Amino acid sequence: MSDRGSVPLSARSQASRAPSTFRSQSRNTVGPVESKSRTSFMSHSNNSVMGRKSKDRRSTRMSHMRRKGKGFETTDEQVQVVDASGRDVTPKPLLSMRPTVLHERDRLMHTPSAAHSPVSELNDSYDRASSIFSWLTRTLVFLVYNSYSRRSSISSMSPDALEEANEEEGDSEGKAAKPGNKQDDGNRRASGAELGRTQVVVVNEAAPIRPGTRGQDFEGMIRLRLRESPTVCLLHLPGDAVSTEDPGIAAVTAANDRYAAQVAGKAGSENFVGKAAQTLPSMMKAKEVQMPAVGKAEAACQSSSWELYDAFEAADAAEAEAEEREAATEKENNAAGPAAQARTEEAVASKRYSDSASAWASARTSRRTSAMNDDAQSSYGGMDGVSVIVGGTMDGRSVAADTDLGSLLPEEEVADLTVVKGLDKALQVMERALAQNVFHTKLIEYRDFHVARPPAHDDGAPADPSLSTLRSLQSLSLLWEFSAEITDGRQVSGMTWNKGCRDMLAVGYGQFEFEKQRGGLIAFWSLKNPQFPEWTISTEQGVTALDFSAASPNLLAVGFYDGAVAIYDVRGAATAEPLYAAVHGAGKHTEPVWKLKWVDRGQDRGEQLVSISTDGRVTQWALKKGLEYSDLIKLKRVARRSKAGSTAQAEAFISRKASGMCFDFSPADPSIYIAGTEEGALHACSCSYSEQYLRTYVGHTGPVYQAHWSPFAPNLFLTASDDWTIRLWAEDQETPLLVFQTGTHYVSDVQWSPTNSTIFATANGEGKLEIWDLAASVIKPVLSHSVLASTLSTVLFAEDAPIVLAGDSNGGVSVFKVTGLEPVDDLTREEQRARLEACVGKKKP
Amino acid sequence: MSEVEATLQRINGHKGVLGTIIVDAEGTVLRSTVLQPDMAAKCASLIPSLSAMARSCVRDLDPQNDLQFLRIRSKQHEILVAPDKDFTLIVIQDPTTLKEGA
Repeated sequence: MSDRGSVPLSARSQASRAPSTFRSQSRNTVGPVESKSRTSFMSHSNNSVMGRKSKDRRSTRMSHMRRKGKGFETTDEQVQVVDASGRDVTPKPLLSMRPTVLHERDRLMHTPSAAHSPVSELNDSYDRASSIFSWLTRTLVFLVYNSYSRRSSISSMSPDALEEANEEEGDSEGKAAKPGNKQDDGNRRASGAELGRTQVVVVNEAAPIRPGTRGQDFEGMIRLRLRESPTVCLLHLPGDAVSTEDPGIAAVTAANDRYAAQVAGKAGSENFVGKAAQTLPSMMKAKEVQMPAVGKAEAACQSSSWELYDAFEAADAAEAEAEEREAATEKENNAAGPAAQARTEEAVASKRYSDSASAWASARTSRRTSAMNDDAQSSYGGMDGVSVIVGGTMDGRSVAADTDLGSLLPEEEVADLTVVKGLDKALQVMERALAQNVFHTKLIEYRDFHVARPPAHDDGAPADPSLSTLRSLQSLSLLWEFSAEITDGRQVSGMTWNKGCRDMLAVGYGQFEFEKQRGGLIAFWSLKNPQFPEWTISTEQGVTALDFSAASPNLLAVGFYDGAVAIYDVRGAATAEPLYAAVHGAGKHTEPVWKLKWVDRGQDRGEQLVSISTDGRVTQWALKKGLEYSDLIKLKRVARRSKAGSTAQAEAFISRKASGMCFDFSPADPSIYIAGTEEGALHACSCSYSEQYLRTYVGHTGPVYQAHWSPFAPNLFLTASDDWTIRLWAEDQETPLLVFQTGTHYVSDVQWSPTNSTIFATANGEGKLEIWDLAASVIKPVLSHSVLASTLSTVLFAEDAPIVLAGDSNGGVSVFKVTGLEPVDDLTREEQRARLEACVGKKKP
Repeated sequence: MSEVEATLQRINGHKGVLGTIIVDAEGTVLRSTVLQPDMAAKCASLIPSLSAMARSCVRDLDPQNDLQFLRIRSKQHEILVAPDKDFTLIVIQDPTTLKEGA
């Protein structure tokens, strides 16, 4: 017999629906029993699983069963095998079919075969219980030249599969075959018994069914060739019969008797032991191999462009540093010797590694500290791999980097914040931001940005002040006050804007009275934080005058109550010590320095510091090798001429020296200056004459506290005095042009407005800040504001904003915004000057 | 009292300031003057990551640039954040009180 493998199965044709007109049985001897059970199993499973009648399922199932090698005959109504003589030799199914199916089939089959009852009986037995030997004789493996689909050559099918296949495969075909089947059933059955000995001639072996022919009826029969394989005889025990009349009968009989006796004696005898041998199936043993799980770790790295940039920068910096160190060590080694050089080269190399490693480590830690989300964690993992590659000395560095953070004590309730680096700067920025939040609108007003006020806010008042209505809305509004706890109670003695950074204000604090002397203070205020000075410098003596230099904006000259003059450099943080100090020496003033000014003396001389004091000296200071002084003039007393006549007796002077209180250099001629004295006399002096006055202006009856040239008209200047008056002078006239007076308090300061030629501000001892506009009135100020409970000592205009500052005796500097005055932005200097002179000239007596 | 402490006190006394939180790089709260402690913990965990993201954005645009200050203005208050390598300084200010007083 041949097994299935010898059956050449041609390739499946496209026509899966090609009817299978033949099914071959291709199973071995053990087939029937085994396959029966198996098929029954399969049928069970099939019943359970297959509920559908899809073609795919069927094909898979059939192919599946073919694989299992089921072997049982299929009795298909469609399929019939006919031998050369025309007899039907269709193989019968091996297994017993299901009752329902069987019943049907039997009905179909048995009816026509009633005439062949003995044969049918036999065949029934075949159907129901086929023995191995009968199967043997009938076993055939048909060589099939099958050009049909594979499915058609499947030999193993379950009954229901058969049924379904029958239904599925071309009903027309089945129906065509059916009638024929019925007729030939009997023939078939009969010929089944003789199957083993017939040879079927295959006729139509070489004619393949073309794919296109699927579904068409096959009218004729398809002829197949069947061949019988040689029969293998396993056991052949032919029986032998001897007649009783044979002469050798006695021997045969004796032998038979002997055999029978032997068989009988076997039963209870001890000589014979029944032994059975059974080969056991090999015991299966499960062998397990267990491996530890392959450790997997995910490493992800997120890199952004700036991280790459940082890494490169750090690497470059490390390299540069290492190179520097290498260069330095090389220099050493050139003296040390070659042996040492080798060692240090190693050290340098390792150091370079460690530096770059530390760079990586610092980059890593910085990344770790700066990015605290999950991405950072993964990048940390990524960086770890890199850092491992870089160097072995990394650990020390990384530990060092970590301990910096670890030194913070988080568990303490009040942590020591000074350890945290950079916190002070951050706090400063934060404070400024907070102040900006608070003072936002005020700062906008300071800058004179016109802010549209929301109309709902006001109660009927007009919305935003346009330029045309400015005149009607003249006001002096207090924006804020530069004051802090540290400045409380101190007298503001001087204010000056920084010439470089226009928003920085230096304010000097110092008492004017001799009895109330205490330490002085210089506070630097910034617009960014009106609530606290940026930094302060404490001094031993009270500050009486201060001025920022224009040529070097970082130099601040400070004059003290004891006559000392110091120059501070404000660039360094919290400079406590002055750069230069004339604390003692010959040039030091012996009286308080009331005015200090940096004067631009022209091309050849540059900028020089000039001071005046009540010891009567106007001193010029030079910055070569410390402060060097040179007296410009020593003020001398001038006899006061009475108005009545010149015949009054001259007073006898106790001292020839006058006391200087103020001075101001002319903007037109930098060598001419006017000096005001405590006696009330004003002198015009020249730097080239140190003995003589150019002119003396008489008018004031009290100390002249302030003198100020007009920035627009070079021949006009204002003076403020203790005699309650402000006087306007022309340079060439010894009597004042105009006299202003508002109250009965001393006027401590007067300042021209830098933008408007007819406006000036005064501060008096009553605490009043007054704005005068000569174009409007020469009698009274246009604007006036009272600062309560203190006296004003200084007044300062801002250069680029309509702002007036007023320093009072309580340590506060009030910031006022001047609105509503006539805008003069478009006027030139000449026009301004003309305006001023026109105003002045009008009133000229 | 050190300069830092003095400034911190001044900030806390500033108009409208609800509280100050200083968070170190690890996320632990160094100093907190916020009334509700859970608020401080929440801020300490949320704000540094936001500032890191903002910093990343700024530096992505230009690697030579760096984030200096961050302000988050919400309906109820404003959170000012001063980030740094080693710490994050957070101040919460209520702008409505400013409008009244200012």
